[in-house]
Amino acid sequence: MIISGAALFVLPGSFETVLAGLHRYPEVTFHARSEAGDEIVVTIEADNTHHLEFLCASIKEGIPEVVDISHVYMNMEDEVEEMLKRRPD
Amino acid sequence: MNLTRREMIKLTAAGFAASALNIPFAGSAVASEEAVDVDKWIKGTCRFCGTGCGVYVGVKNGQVSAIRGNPAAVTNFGFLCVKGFKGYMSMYHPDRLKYPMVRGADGAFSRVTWDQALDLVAGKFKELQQKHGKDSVAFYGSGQCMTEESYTFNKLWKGGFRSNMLDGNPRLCMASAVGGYMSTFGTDEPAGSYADIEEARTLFIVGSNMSECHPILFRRVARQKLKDPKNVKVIVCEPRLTSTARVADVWLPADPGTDLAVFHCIAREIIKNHWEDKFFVNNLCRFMVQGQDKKMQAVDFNAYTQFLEQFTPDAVEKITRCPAQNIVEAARLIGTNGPTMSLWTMGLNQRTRGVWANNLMHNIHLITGNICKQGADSFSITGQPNACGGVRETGSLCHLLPGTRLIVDEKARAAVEKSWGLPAGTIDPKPGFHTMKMFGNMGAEDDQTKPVKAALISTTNPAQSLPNCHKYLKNMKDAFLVVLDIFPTRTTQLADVILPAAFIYEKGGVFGCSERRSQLTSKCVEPPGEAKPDLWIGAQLAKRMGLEKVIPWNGDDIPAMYKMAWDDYRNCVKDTEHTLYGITYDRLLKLEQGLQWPCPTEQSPGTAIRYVRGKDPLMDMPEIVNVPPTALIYFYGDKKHEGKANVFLRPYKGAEEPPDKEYPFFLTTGRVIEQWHTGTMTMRVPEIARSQPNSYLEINPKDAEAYKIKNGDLVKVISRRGFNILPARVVKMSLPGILFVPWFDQDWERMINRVTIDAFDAGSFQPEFKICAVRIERVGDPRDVADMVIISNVDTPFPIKV
Repeated sequence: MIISGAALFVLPGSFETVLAGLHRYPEVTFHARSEAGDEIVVTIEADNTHHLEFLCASIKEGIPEVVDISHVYMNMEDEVEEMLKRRPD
Repeated sequence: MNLTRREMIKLTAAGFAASALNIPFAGSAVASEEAVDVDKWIKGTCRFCGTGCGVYVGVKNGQVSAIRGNPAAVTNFGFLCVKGFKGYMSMYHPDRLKYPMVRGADGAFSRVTWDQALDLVAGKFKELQQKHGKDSVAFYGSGQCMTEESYTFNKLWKGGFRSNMLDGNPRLCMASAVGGYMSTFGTDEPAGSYADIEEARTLFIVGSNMSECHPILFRRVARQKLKDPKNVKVIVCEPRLTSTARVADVWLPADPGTDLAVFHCIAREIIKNHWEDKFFVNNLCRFMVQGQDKKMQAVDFNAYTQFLEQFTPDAVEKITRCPAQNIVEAARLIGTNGPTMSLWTMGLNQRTRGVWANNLMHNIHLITGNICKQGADSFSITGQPNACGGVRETGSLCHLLPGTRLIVDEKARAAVEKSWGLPAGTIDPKPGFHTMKMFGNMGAEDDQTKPVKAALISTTNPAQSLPNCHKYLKNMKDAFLVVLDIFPTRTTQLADVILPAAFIYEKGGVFGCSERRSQLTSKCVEPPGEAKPDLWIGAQLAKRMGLEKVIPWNGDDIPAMYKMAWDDYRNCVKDTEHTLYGITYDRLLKLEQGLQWPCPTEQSPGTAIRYVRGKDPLMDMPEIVNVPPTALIYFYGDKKHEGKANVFLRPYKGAEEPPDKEYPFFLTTGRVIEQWHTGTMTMRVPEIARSQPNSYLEINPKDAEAYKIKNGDLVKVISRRGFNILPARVVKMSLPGILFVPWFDQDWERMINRVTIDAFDAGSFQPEFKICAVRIERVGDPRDVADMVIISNVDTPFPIKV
C-alpha cells in the first residue's frame, strides 16, 4: 500500500468542478485548498506505485481542469518490506 | 480523537503537501511528524538530476520506508518528481553488488575479501606506475559521486600520484558550460539563482527539455507563466516540439547545431532596435574577435554591430529553418519585456561548438544587461546531481584544481600544494587526458600505443555512455579496469575488479547543485552486504599505496571521515573566488536549504547573486579579488582586471556531421522523464521499467510515410559508426528530417551511443552527442521489444566479442 500526499494544481475558477470530479475516485481524499482555489491538497491511496501512476493519469484525463499533480510525500513501507523479502543475502 | 494508523499516515501526508503549498491545514495538529510510523526522518538531497531537490528520508527498522520532499528546501519547496520518489526502490533491488569481486583466469568473477581486492588493486597500480610512469593509471569519476569523494580521488591523483590523469563524466555533459563561463566571465558557474525564475518576465529555454529532464525546475517556470500568462513570456529554442516547447509563447525550431546563427540574429535585432543596455555595453562588455594571427583581440561595439549584420532574420531562417518572425519576436521580448532568464542544458553543451554556443547566450545577456539583477541571468542547468559541486568546484577534471582553478596556473598550483602540505612543484603543470583521449589511449600493458594501462572508474558507465562507444570497448577490456558501482553494468562486464559501492542514503555527503548550493545528506541506513562508500575505498587505496598522509581520512567512522574530507576541501578553496570556507558541516546540518557559495566566513549567509556590491561578499574582500570601491557591478573573474565580461564575435559553424545524400537525417539523443542516464538505477524500478521499457525512434509522419514506416515498425538507424534497430514512434513532435532516440536503453541493439559521433569541442573537449547524420531502413513489422533489459549478473558476457 502506498499513501501519497499530493498537490493538485487546477485551472482558476474550477475548484468546485474538480472537487466534484474527485468524488469518482474513492482512492482520493480531499483535505485542503488554497485561498484562490487553484491548489488542492489530497491524499491518494494505491496498491503500489504503478497503480498510483495509473490513478494520476486517469484523474488528469478524467478532470481536464487538473493541470498537474505533484506528490510531496509517499509512505511505502509495505513495498520496501516486499522488496526485502525478494532480496537474496 | 481515535485515529487508525492508516488515517494518521494520511493526515501526515496531507500535512506535508499543505505545508509545501503554504496552505493552513488543521490536520497537521492531529498528525504530527512523530505520528508517522518511522523511527526517524533524515534530511538529504535527491540522487538524480542537478536540481538539488531537498528530501527527508524516513527510516524504520534500519530501512528506508518513506520519502518526502522538504518544503523548506528552496530548490523544490517540497515537490519531487517520479525519479526522486522511486529512487529508493533501486536501493533494495536484488541485483545490488554486495561483495568485492575479481575476474579469474577463466573469465568468471569470484568473491574476495576487501583486503584481497584492495591489495590487488593497490599492488597493480603501483606496479604499473613504476613500470610505465605515474600517468599510466587513470581515474574516471562522476557527477554522481559526493563532493568529498571526488575531492579525495582528485587529491590522491594530483597530490599523491603527481598525475593529472583524472577526468570525469561531466566532461560529457557540461564541460562546454564551464568553457563558456570561464571564457566569458573568467570564472565558472552562473551569477544568479533559481529564485530568478520567479522574478523573470521572459524565460528563454534553450536546448533543454526541462519538463522531462528537470521537472521540478520546470514546475517553477510553468508556475511563473501561469501566475501572469499575459506578461510572462516563454521562449523555447529546440528542434523538437517537446512538452517544454508546448508551453512556449515563441518557439524557435532551429535545426540541430544551427542555433549560433539564431543567437547572433537575436543580438542583431536587439542592437538594430536600440534595446541594448548602454551602461553594460560601455562599462562591462569587452568585444573580442579572433585575429588573423589566431589570437583574440578586443574590438569596439561598432565592429560587433557590423559583424552581426550578416545574421539577418531572413538569412538565418535559410540556415536554420527557424521562422524569421519568431526570431524577431524573441529578440523583442528579450529586449523589451523586462528581466530575462535563460536556462539551458545538453542541447547547447553537447556540441563541437558548445563553448561558442554558451558564449553567444552570455552575449545576449550582457548586451541587454540581463544579468546581475533579480530575474535576469544566463544560467546553465546541470544534468547530474553533483557535477557542479563535486567535479567542477573540486576541480576533478584533468585540467583543473580545487576552486575551478587551472592547473597550468603556477600560482594556483602553489596555493594548492601549500594547502595540501606538499612540497612546491609536486603538482604536474601539464593537464592530463580529457575523457575521449583517456579512453582512446587506454589499453593493454604490452600495447606500446596505449599509455594508459589501468583505470579506476567510479559511479559511471562509460561502456554505454561514451559516444561511438564500441570504438572504446576493447581499450577498456584490455586495460586493468577497476569499477566501483552499485549494480552490474555494461562497464562492469569489461572489468577486472568490481568494488561494491554504497548508495547516497547509505553513506551521506555533500551535493552541490546547479545554483552553487551545497546541501548535506546524512547517512540514513547501512549499505547491503559488504558494500562500502567510495570515500572509504579511495582512502584505503591511498593507505595501501603509502599515501595516508595525503588522504588521512581512512578510518571506519564514515560520517566523521566525510567531514574530515569536506574540511580539507573548504580549507583548500578558502581564498578563491569559489570559496565555501563558511559552509561547514554544522551549518549544513542545521540549515534546511543549504548554502550558496561564495560563502567566505561562517557568518556569511551565502550568495544568491554574484558580482554585485551588497549582494556578493567577495566585492569587499580584496584578499580574494580586487574590486574598485566605486564599482556596483564588477566581473572580478576578468583576467585583464577591468571587471568586464567578454562578448565574442564567434563565426557561424554548424554541426560536425550535417546530413548529406547518404545519411540524410539529423539524429539527436536525450532523456525521457522516467529514465535516468544509462538506466542502471531507474530500469530497476519496476513501474518505471514498465512505463518506459525500451528506447525508440521518434520520427515525423512525413518522413515515416516516405519510408513506409508505421508506428511500431522496426527501423534500422545507421550512421558512419554503427547502427541500432528500434521501434518507430511516429509523432509530429520531431520536425521532418530530425530523428530522436533516448539513450537509457542497455540492450545492445538499442544502445544509441553505438551510432553517435565522438567528435568533440576543441575548447571543452565535450563530444557532440546531440547531432550526427544517419540514414534509416524499415526492417520489419512491429515486434514486442519491451524486454526491460538490465545486466543482472556480473558474469553475463558482453553481447559481442570485444
